[in-house]
Amino acid sequence: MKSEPIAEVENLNVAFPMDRGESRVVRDADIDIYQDEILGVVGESGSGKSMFAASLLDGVVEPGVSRGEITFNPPDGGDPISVLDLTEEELRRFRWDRVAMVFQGAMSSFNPVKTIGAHFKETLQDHNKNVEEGLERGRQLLEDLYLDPDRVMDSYPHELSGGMKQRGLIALSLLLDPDLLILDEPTAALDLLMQRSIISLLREVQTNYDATFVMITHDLALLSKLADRMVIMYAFQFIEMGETDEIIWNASHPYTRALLASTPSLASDIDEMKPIPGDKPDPVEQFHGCSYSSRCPLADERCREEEPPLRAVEGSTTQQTACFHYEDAAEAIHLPSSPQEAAESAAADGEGQ
Amino acid sequence: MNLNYLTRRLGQAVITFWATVTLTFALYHMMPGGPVESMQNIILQQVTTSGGSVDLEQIEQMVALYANIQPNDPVYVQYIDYWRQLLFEFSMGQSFSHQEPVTTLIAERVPWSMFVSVYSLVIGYTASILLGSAMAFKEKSRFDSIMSSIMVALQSTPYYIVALLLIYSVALRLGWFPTGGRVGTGVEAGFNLEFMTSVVHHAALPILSTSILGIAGAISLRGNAIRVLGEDYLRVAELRGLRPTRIATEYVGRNAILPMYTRFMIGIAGVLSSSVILEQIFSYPGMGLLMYNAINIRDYPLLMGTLIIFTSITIIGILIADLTYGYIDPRASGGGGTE
Repeated sequence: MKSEPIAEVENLNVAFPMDRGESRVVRDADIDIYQDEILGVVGESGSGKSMFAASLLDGVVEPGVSRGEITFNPPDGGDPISVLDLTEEELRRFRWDRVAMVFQGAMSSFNPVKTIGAHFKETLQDHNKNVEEGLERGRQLLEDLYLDPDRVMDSYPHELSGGMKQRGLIALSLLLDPDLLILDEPTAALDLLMQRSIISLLREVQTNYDATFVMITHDLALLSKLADRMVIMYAFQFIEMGETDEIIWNASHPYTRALLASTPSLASDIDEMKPIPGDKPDPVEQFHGCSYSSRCPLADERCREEEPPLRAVEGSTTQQTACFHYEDAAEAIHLPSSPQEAAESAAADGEGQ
Repeated sequence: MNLNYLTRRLGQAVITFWATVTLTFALYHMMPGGPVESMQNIILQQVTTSGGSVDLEQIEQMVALYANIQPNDPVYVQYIDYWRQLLFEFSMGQSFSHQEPVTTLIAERVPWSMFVSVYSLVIGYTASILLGSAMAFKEKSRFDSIMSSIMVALQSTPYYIVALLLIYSVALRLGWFPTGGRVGTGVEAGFNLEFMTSVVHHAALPILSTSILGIAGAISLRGNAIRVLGEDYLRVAELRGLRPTRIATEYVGRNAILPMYTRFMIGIAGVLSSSVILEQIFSYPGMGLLMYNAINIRDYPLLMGTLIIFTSITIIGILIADLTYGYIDPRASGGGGTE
């Protein structure tokens, strides 16, 4: 399934200037995003995953700044685009046309005094697209997401339910046929039933429209059903990445294993769930060594002195981990049930929080 | 907009109007030396000073003619009579100080007062919108903090103080503006440049001082705009690659100005009522001055008439604001629910 990378991220750093120093919320991120894949980005709240995603369309809110190299390779064969070097007007045209984004806050993603249809129309107009054809496509998208286009297009945001708005926003994000769609916690504000149907809709849409998805969530179980590949973020850094099966069955970073161990599932006993002890580091702090070392049972002197680089796990071409002692992780951090059972139960109640 | 809401809202307006007229009528009759006696006295005085003979019956006839009421009728008959003439003959009686029907007097003055009011509102609110947006855009800058202080100071300064300062400085000391009147003497009324510049020249100071009433709205617009700038939908609009002009007008502008719309319509009432004092300061012969003089010389029919007009304009302003708000903000349409 490995195709050409649609986006290459090199040495990405996102920082916010603050009174007490610079807050670095993404540190030295390197990753390739491949065409037609669904890449899942997992991490706890405040681990920098949303900032990483927003950087892909240079959309980090001010006064945050993204530095580094993000190269976007248009799948239709155009010249590579260096996203962080675009002028304001170029960036405006690039956004939504090439890379679109769906937010967790779909409830408030629409202008309250405009109809949903007006949002579709203005998006087409400002990107110089044919409005009539575009609206036809928009109606088709709404229908694919099981919404009544006539009703939704004429409605104001406050007249729709949360799930309808979320689906409306997904339709809007696909309106200009973007090559890459970023979904930032698209189901966080929805109830479990709605989460399930949105996830299955996303699957359908991804197949039908040949889009590449980057999906951000803290919900490992949900992601395991959807993603082809996963990357785990801890303390503003990528600490492990690999194919979904590898992460679920053969997690090699102590943090990933601890995360899996703390993921609730219907099959496991509540007493077996293990919250990770300790706190995550402050983004302003300049820490030495491994960022997880203060919470890690395997940490030794070397972990506290030296920062482990992301390197390939032995025996795999796709899995990478940032740990000196990953060979010992499986033994040191036990999952509540065997990894296989955990994966199965996670997949079985995938929408469980 | 459903019909039910429309009728209910219109009904409320009618009741408010009725209540105001009734209350005013009652108050006038309760005043020591009510309208009838006061009028009788004035006529009596006029007649005696001019050395004529006193004919009480004749005086009563004159009172009836002027005040639109029969002084000897019971109050409720007078009340019904006043309404009958107001509604069916559009008559508010005769002003005895001007010797003219009240309606004619008011009709002649209303355009001038409206001219001043509307322009002060428009100028005041335009300035407040521009200033407020600039302050929100430069939030926490030196410009923002200085302007905020100035706005708070202005907000707490009564308009008549501003008026007095203006008339003292630019009119009396510098002589740039006239100290009173509506047009220069000897200027021919009509659609010509000289007349129009003269009108603007005379209205400039009253308009400027009343604008102060609206300009302090910059503070609330600043607050609204800052709130909108932090909304999720604004960020989405930016990531959606919408044109900056569209974001500024249809996203930030519209959503920040919306809450000010009702204020603007109600502001008409505030500006009109301020005209009573303001026109006195600037000797600007509009509705306010007419009312002020009517109070001084106890010209009750005229006082009653001006009050009714002020009330109606206010009620109509608020009614229009209420009925049109649904078109401006879809969240408020339908108007159902409880008030």
